[in-house]
Amino acid sequence: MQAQAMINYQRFTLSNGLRVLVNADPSTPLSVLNLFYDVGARDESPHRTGMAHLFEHLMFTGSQNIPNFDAPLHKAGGECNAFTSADMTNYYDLLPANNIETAFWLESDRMLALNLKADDIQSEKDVVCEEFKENYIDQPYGDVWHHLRALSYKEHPYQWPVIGKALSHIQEASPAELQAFYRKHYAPDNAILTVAGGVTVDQVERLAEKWFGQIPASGINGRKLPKEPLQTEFRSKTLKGDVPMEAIYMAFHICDRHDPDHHVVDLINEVLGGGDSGRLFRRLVIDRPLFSSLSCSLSDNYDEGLFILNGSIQEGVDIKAAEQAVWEELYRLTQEQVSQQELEKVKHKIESSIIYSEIGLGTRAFYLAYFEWLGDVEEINTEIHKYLSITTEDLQRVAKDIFKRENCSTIYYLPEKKSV
Amino acid sequence: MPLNRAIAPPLQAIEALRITDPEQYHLSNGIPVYLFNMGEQEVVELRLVFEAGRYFETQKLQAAFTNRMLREGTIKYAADQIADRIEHYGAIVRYRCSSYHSSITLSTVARHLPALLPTLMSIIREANFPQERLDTVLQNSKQKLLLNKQRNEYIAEEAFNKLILGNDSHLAYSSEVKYYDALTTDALRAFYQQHYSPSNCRLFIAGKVSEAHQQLIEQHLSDPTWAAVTHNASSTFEPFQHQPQQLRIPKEGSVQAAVRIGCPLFNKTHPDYAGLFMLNTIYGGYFGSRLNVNLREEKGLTYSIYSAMVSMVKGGYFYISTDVRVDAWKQVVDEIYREMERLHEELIPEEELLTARNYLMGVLLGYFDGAFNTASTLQGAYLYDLDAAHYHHIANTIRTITPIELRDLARKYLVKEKMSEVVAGGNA
Repeated sequence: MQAQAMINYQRFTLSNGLRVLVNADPSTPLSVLNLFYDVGARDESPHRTGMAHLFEHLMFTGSQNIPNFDAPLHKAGGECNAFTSADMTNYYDLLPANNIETAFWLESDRMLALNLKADDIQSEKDVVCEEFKENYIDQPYGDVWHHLRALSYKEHPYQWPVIGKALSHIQEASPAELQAFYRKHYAPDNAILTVAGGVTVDQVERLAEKWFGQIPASGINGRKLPKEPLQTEFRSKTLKGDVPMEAIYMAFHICDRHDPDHHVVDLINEVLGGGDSGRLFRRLVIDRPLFSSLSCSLSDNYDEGLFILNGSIQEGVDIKAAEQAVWEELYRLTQEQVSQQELEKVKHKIESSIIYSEIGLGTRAFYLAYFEWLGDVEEINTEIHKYLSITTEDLQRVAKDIFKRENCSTIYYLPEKKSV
Repeated sequence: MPLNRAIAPPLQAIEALRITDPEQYHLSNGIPVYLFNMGEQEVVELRLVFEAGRYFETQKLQAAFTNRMLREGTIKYAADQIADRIEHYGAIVRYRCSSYHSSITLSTVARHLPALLPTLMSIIREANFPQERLDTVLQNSKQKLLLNKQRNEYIAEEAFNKLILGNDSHLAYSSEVKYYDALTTDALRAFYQQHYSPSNCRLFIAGKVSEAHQQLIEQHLSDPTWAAVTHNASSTFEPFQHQPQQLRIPKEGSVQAAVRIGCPLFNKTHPDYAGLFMLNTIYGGYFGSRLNVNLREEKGLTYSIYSAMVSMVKGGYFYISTDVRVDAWKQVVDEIYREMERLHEELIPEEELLTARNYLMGVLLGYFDGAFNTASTLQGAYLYDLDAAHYHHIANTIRTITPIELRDLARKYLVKEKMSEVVAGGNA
């Protein structure tokens, strides 16, 4: 197999600690400025959750010299967005390359001094609460992620979702708390700036120095998070709600992003999940119709994350029997090696997804920042080799580590009137 | 000299739209080909578009499930084998069905294309609609329908579509369990034979496509044994006359209400389309729009509000969509109409107009950035018998339309009395 992935980049660091990466691509009239902040929901206090995500919203409410963030960007022909995870908050601006300086101006000003005016804060808190309701309260099964995280983690801050534990955590955040959070995390030494598209390295060096060079570092120095103690017994919880059918959610602890086994877990996820040829769909939705849908995913965290499996039980099927069938599939991975054919398939799939991620300007800019954040940006071009060297023995060994009853937290979600 | 951050960097003019036209030719059996041979990444996308959408149905859900069942078995390969033969190469095949067209899209790393073409051809020519697979697909689809029918957004959207498009229209109809139960493998097979034919197909190819790839595609797709079928282009659906209505669907215990407001509209071939595209952007079409700034940014009543124009080959509609705090839906509905009226009464200020013009010019640049964006944008023109000139016309309108023309469009189309309204969720 040939690995064709190759993204060119230049890297430099400003004296205040801001790391800068440039992917010059003269073939496009567009450019992306991506600003990655090393702050996520894991940096919140258990008593004030949802702050990192609330901040993602507040960052659009105007800064010291620019009262409105969006309008000047739109006027430059650009658009923007952002997202927050348990580990990071990422902002990006897409605009015609000849107006890239507008993005430098806007992003540097909101890193330097955010306004945080009382009425803006209130209105963004309200918006975030509506987002909370839309996705986690008014959706069937919408609250399951709160319960599953709390069941899986007892110490580590991954125990709450990015949106926050409760509406009250968001509404009651005080101006002083918000200001402190901003001062601590929004600084050049806690960020990675990437520019991709129709720009030159010289131009980005000059603009980065001009707009970001004078912003003081915060001196932020690592984080001390509680390590999640090893889970030693099976955990379960039954939820009831206004839902049309029974559903099951199973979460297993997995290794952190730096562990050499991370890539093996990724392939295990593909063997089980992955499309119409994945084992779970084929064996438990088609061959034995126990589920009407069944899928799995990785939480893709920096610290020890989760492998999560969720399925809707087919009408008339006993939820315990369906659960038992899932365990049999998981145990099979620990007892028998996958075929060479299956291994080759999931490697092809990873290779494709890497190549596709290089097409979009936005994903290219983000992944450069992401790998820089992980510790070595060159991994963006070499990570494929880690996947290609994985063997069927690796899959079996790591499956044995993960698929143990004492490593599992399970939620049974039932329609109001039923019981397990 | 210290940096003066209060002064914005000078703006450069956004460059004129540069559209790379595809190479157009026909396969030897007459299938029109649009080849977007560009890009550095070693990937290829092949999209076959058939006139096989809901418009041509003789019974409900026939088009969608014919398309859905293509991967469930062919004369040569069982469903498992199809999945294996595609996924082994890390490739993806997507199936889509709309009001007028159905499509099959293969995306793959370029070097695997030769290995994938036989499977793709079998799907297109030799699907055999096994009964037991249809049973499974229907059963699982019904479960998904049950779930959707508990979501306010789905309830609102379904009711809204019924009001403005009619429940017996190919443009939209609500899915019901009884329609699933009435589907047979014979009905799907008949639809397939009638509509998935080379005489009824267009091929869009995008990415890094070699000469050898082109020859292989010709070889597979213009196989003389794949027969053309006379295409019956009439529709059994009744035309629908929209009568504006207000509908309230309460749901105990919900903390949000889903609001949908809108009316039927022309499609992108209409002379007013480009102007309305601009007006819609200012009204509710982007983050800086009046609806979003008023109801999200200033009042915090919703996480998301937008308006949009939906184009279909035989019609279209305009709508506003939002999910709002349950006690505030009346206020939101009033504001939605008040923003329409402001556009009737006041001319759009120059600064606001300039911002929207530049924003849209940037968006258009994105539509034509790279092979895949260009292909999907122009496909959306070709299927309406339009071409790149359509986008040059839109760009020209964006640059030159006047506040008075925009006001006149608002008075003509964004009119409260023409709109139907649905509010789902909250107490009665």
